Amino acid sequence: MQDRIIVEKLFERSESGLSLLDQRYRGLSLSVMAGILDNTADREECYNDLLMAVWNSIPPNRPDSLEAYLCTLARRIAINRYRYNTRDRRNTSYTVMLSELEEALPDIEGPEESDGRITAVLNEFVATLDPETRVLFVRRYIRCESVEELARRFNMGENAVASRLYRARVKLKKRLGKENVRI
Amino acid sequence: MKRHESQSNRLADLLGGIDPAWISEALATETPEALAALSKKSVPDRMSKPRSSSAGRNRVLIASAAAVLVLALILPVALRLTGSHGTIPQDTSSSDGYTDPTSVIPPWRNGELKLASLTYRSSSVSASLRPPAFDLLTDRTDTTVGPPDAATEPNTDGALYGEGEEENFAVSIMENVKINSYMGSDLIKLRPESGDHVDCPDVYFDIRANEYTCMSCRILSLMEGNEEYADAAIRCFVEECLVSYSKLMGSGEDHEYRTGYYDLLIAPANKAYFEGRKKLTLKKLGITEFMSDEHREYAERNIPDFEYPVADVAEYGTDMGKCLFTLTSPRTGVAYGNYICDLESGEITRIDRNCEGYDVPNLSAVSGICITNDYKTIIAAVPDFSYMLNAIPHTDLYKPVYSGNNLCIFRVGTGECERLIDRVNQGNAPATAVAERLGVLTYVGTDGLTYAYWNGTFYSMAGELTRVIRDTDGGRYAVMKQGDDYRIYSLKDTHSLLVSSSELEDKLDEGNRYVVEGNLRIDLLRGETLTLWEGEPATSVVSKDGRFIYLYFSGEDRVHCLDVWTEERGYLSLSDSFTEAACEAGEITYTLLLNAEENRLLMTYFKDGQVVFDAEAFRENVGTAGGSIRKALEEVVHYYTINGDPLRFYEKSKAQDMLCLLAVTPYLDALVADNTSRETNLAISIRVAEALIPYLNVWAHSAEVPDGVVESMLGDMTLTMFRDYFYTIKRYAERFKPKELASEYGIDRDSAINGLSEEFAADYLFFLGVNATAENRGILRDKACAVLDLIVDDLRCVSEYDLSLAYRSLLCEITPALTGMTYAEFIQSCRYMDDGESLCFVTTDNTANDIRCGLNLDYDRDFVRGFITGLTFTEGEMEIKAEGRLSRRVFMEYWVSFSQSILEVGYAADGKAYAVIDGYYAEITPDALEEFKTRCVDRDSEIAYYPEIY
Repeated sequence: MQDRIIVEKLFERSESGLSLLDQRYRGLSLSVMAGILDNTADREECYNDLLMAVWNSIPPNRPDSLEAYLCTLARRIAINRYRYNTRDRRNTSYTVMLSELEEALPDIEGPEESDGRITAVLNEFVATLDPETRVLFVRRYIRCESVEELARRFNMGENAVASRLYRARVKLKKRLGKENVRI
Repeated sequence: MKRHESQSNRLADLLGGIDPAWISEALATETPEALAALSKKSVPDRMSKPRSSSAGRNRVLIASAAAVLVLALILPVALRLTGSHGTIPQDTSSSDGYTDPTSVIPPWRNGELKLASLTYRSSSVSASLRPPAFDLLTDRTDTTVGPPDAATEPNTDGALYGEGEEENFAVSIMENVKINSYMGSDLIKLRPESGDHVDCPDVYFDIRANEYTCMSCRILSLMEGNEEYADAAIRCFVEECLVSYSKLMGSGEDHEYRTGYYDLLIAPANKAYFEGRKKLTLKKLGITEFMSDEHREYAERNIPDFEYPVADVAEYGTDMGKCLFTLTSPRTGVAYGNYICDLESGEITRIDRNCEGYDVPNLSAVSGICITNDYKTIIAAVPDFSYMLNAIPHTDLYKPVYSGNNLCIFRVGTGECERLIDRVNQGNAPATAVAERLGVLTYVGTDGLTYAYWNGTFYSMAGELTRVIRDTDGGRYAVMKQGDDYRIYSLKDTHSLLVSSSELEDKLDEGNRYVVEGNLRIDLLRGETLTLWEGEPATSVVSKDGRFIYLYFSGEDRVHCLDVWTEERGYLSLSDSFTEAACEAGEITYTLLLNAEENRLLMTYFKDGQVVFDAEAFRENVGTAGGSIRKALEEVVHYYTINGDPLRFYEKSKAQDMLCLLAVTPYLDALVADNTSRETNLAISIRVAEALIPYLNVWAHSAEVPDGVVESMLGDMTLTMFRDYFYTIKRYAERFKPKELASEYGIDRDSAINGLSEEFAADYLFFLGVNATAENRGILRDKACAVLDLIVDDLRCVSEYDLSLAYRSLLCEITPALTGMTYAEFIQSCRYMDDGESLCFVTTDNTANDIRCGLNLDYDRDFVRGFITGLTFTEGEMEIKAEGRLSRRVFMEYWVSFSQSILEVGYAADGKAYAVIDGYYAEITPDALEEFKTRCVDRDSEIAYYPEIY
């Protein structure tokens, strides 16, 4: 309900919509960014960028799930900042996550696939995961939560989380290979 | 490498664009229970076929149906225009047609609440729900609507009517209602405009429970005309609030502290409960910094009309010059923690930090407090109508948790709090304040029996407790008086023994099973007496615990040492004038005997009857301390660290004083092992260590120190010391410092801890390095390796990635300090110490233009070991040479960092090609150099090659 009100207010170009959004989603957004950016100041700056991006993108967008929308935007903005920050050095936990994702890259030669096609395959792949693994996968590689955080949150062993993620990556690699998708 | 990196970056990007439904699902799944529930759900469509985007849309519709419904009701036109895409940021949604609102099924709670009808009016749409709850339309518009018209009259099916007060109550609210606000997913706050509750501020409809509640009236009715029941009302009230609060909060929404329902309800409860209690405002206390800026901002932002907390000052402990209190928000009832205020100095200390996972007592709302161990342990009796405090994660605040009549032991230093009484089984709950006698908690229970809690077990006994007796094996007995009879209960099996009153009447102090009177030992349990010695001693001293007696008879050149408990006796060679200086350190009983005439101090461990330590210099420091080893230590440490700098001390007292310090060190273990005063122990240990380490250097070069002691000190003693130092600092860091460090340096908690650990390890290794000589190099090398082992064990919590970085930086720092050791030697030593547990990492040797990066990770047993020994290029791609076996992941993590560190390539004076990697030179092949030149400049180029190493 509150999400709808926020969106409506944004559609009305009312800044109170941003204020409501700030109250409701600041924690979520910053926690998403925290998985990628270690520096608090960076996260704060990115959070401001996020508010600006929301203001600029709603309207025309009308997300059904404002939460997911913000999560995606926050992640994207944080990743951009991460890339900016790490042009010369690599030392964040996000690096670790990227290196994990590299395991899912198939060894395929040829032209790169289009974004739309890859996204479709990724959607299909996520749908095939069992619910638990799917939640872990999404939280790890989209919300950028660490393995330790996941283990703690879901009361699982770190090894258990890591191995589930590992199997998911292997599965993804196979899937991408099978679909002949070159990232 | 770069190709893969860009690919993984792209993959990460694209993963961010997957169907938002999956993201919503993951975000909504925040607890183990939710995860388990998710996996139990039947999702055949998901599992059996790939999801299309339209399927995703449907799912989003369902998942957020409440929101969609409301939006549909509010803005049907807008809904018509926008459709219901699973919108991804930056996408422009396209309309895919009109969605019939009636097809939307409200998701609320298993169909308990269903959409009954929709009515379109000229300006709006209203929905009626079954059971009828409210008119959702008003939620948005905040306008009052009239009674539902005939078409939407929800009561026609009669399902809502029923007998009894609750139903009528519900209907009366429903008939003409203005919805005030929508509280989360389950609670709707209502503002009735007619009926009994028209002025009530706290009327709620719980969708999940499908029931209305007027909290305002409920509490008033409970309390009305029933003063003595006020507490019970509050109890119910608080309990009810908590239940509702739990529903509202959900178990996973840690980051959000929602106000509203909870605030409104707890506040009057607190107000009533604490009415008349002494209030102490922060301003009066002169304290303004009870909350961190972050928390204050959070509270100000999230708690409407946020008010700064006030303290309800407990009456307990004021006679000891201190008072205990709990800070609570006057409006919300949220607690800001428990504090001790020193009434003399005004110093206020928070005593319950780091209590996540524990319920701690609300010290302002307990019925009795027993303070033991110099405020280190607080035993609190929680009354039936009160509550304890439960930490709200990430907020540094507490919310009330109903605990029932309870008894809890709160350890101030560690934040641990043990609730002793089951909420259900309240039979042994305390009716009186609790007392502590020889470690036994005693009180009178609600059932009139006297209870003793010892060793994790409750014992119930009839009569009045007069004393507690300690047996020689550490067991406890309770002496109960019933009429003229005394009965001794064993606190092992409640076996009781009736004894004659004459033996106990005049010995009502707490004490041991054996009491010494003159030269007689009386066994209180058996009523037997034994003559311990004959004759009249010139001097006698009883040890603090009453177990040992030291006797000197004129004319003898020895001291008799008697163990009262075991009747053993030994002898010490000593003249006649001595006093007891200290005894007891942890579990071990030591006795320090100070010979005033000879100005000598004997430290004995009675069991062996041997003099362990004899040092004149200890007298000044220890002899005046009296009491205990701990006190003595504090004195020593104070002397060393506060009064004067170590060097001055050294000049003054020469090497003998170092021996004193050495003699102190064995006690550190005992001190640290003493859990009851962990905080003090840590502080002492840290201070001793800090005081000692600067000495070591001086002492190592002192001609006064006997041969062999240096090596000994540099070896075992310093390692022991370092171990204590390291662990205590680390513990200290974990417990007290990381937040501050994190705040100061903008790093996270783990980094702060690891940073500290590294720093201390580097300090120690540096110390070893500067003290290295040809003779002791072997010792130092062993010790360095042992220290590394230690750190490896301790840093297991850190990811292997961090570990490798930590080691690299650590060893880069310290290896040159280990004078005389070449890197090759060090590598050899590392390999030598490779026992399956250790880790070493050795970096380059500048002079040899050779890169040798050793990785030996045995983290989590997943990794095999290996050494990265060089870089070459093969067929245009860079290759890392590795010896041994490395897991791919470890390798990759290392390599990601490593490859990014290549700063420069070129030819050295000797014509060899090199690369500067992280400030070190690595020899590479000329081909590699050319590749670097062309590829490293453009970091988006592809220069990577991954050897398959498993």
